[in-house]
Amino acid sequence: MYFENLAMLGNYAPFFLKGVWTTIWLSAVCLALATVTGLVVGTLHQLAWKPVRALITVYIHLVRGTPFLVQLFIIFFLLPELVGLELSPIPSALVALLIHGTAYIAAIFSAGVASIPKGQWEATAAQGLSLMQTLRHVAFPQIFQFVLPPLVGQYVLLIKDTTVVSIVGVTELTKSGLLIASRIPEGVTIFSVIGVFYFLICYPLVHLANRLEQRFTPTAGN
Amino acid sequence: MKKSLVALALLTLLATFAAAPALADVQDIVARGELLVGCQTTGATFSFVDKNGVRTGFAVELAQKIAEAMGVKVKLVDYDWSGLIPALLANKVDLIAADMTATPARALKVSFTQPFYVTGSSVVVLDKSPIKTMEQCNDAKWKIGVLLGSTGEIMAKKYFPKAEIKSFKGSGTLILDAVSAGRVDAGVNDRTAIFGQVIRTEPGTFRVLDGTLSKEPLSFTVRPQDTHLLTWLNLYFDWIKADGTMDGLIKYWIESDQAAKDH
Amino acid sequence: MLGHFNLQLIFDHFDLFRHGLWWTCLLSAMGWISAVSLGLTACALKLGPVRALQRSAGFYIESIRSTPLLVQLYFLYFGLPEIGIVLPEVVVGVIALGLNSGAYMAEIFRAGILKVAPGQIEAARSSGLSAWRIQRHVVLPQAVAYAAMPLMSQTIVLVKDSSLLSLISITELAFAAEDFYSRFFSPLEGYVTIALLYFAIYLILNSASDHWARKIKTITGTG
Repeated sequence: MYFENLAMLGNYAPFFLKGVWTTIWLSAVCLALATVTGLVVGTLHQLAWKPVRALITVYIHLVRGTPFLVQLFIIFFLLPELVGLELSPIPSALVALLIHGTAYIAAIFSAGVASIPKGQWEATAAQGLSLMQTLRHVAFPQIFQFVLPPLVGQYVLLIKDTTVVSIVGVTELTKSGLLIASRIPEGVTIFSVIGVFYFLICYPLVHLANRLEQRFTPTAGN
Repeated sequence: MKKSLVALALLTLLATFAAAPALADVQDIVARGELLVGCQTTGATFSFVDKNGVRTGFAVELAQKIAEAMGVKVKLVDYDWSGLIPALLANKVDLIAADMTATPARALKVSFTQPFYVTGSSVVVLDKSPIKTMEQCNDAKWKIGVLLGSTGEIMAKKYFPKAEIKSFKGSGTLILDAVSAGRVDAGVNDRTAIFGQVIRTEPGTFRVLDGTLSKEPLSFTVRPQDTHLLTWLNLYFDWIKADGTMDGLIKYWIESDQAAKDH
Repeated sequence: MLGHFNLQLIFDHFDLFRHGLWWTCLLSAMGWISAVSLGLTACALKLGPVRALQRSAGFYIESIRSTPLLVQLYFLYFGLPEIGIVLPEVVVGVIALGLNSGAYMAEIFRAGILKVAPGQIEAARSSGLSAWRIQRHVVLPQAVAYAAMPLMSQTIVLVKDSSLLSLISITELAFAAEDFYSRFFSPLEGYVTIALLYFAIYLILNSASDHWARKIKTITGTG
């Protein structure tokens, strides 16, 4: 029975792979954009004017404190009313993933920037380096090792969060699998296939995160 | 400052590839050249993915005919059950083409077209189940699975008050999955939906009990303020009911196993 | 939709949300206990001397981290019965939350233990402490301190993850929002209400976490 079902799946390969592809590119775009916005917001969280910092703190707390499903629902159905911006499913999913991902990545970068000893800022300022120069040449190269392992770990979590966007009309990996499940009532077959595909997408990153951690996390002794 | 600039740039970027808003009444749809249809592509026979991985079904074909009559293209957008009415109310789609029961409660929020079919809630069990009639379901020893927010949920609670009712959030084949996994002893859902799914399983797996618990008209759904679209759809339904097109669709998709063989 | 935001409706049917909140808290608590036990076990196996056990703990951690909870949940709920194991919904829910968060917690504990300076262990050994005492008095207190903050973050993740359990008919907060929606067809009220309730849980956990963080500084000397 199991293998018969698996063979039946062959017919749906093009449809299913389209869903796989949607998950991959949606994740890739979201990760790339969220890394940039996360870097900016995270740095501002440490260095900007106080009210801006407070605002960012509230934002990070709001995102961390509510399930993504709920955020997505509220963004999708509220954004049109608040901003007057009508978005079709994929852009809304991207906006939601971006708002979500930026908060987590900003928290990582913020901790990174905070880890730089105060003396260094003063020293570079004394040498006449501008803030941007300090960030580029002094701060970021140092925090790179510090933020990389959690960053890659966060990437995996964000990829897995894309499973939720099907509720706003995006046919990604999980959804396309579910649609096919209407043909093959044994959901188990479908879910094992979905699981394998997520594993193929995520495992390289999980592995990378582990390697980075081994390389960059110094034990307190040395 | 810089952050708001970045935000502004991003929003502009997104706005450029944002879809045309479905702010529509009929003339906006015609001007746009595209009919945005919200559907719930999960289970046969109203809207599903066929053997070749193509979206099809009764509601999909009817939506295509509607778009054809309007002279526009059709664009299907998939939502979960819980996303359908919110998507309509948030102007994401022009109409919902699903097997939605036109209940008076729902009609307080949205407008329904004239019904295209009348179905009812039925009970599905495993073929080997001791449950033979619907009356037997009303017993404390059974667990009955329904979809959260469905008319089946309301009917099951009304007619089987002694049984334990389990509501599942989700849609499609979830009820059959729950029955086949032994999570529940019986499932209650629209007769059309149950038949559409059971016909595509191995013969001898499931059994649908005789009779229905209710009579439920199925309709397409529009925003309450889109009166022109509603009038147009009702008129169109009158036409295709008169010329036999609707009957043909119903015979093919709902009342025979022809669609199951073809798709 | 905003114009019609109906506050009265929320208050009138707050029982729905209270019931959901109770189940969210209950399942999260039980899920947390199983996650911590699983996490500690997997961590011990991975750091232990037996190769096969290291491998299997590694396999568990990596496969959980590489697949979404939703997929794991469906597998447990609809998959296990196919091999004859039908567990009640609540048990499946607790196992799913425990299995999922357990993998992350194992990594958190391991990182905490590895952070303890090797020099300290050697110093303890040379001063004649037994292996058990070294673990008990030198390694574990510091490891717990190092692990406390990320453990709190994972706990918050676990609470939010429990929102998926509505898919297997558990009546927690997300279920309440959807139930509310299907009765009144106003989607926003229910979701905003549960967002606030989740946020309240978060604030409580977060302040507990901050409180710990201050205490921990005194243990590790740094933070």
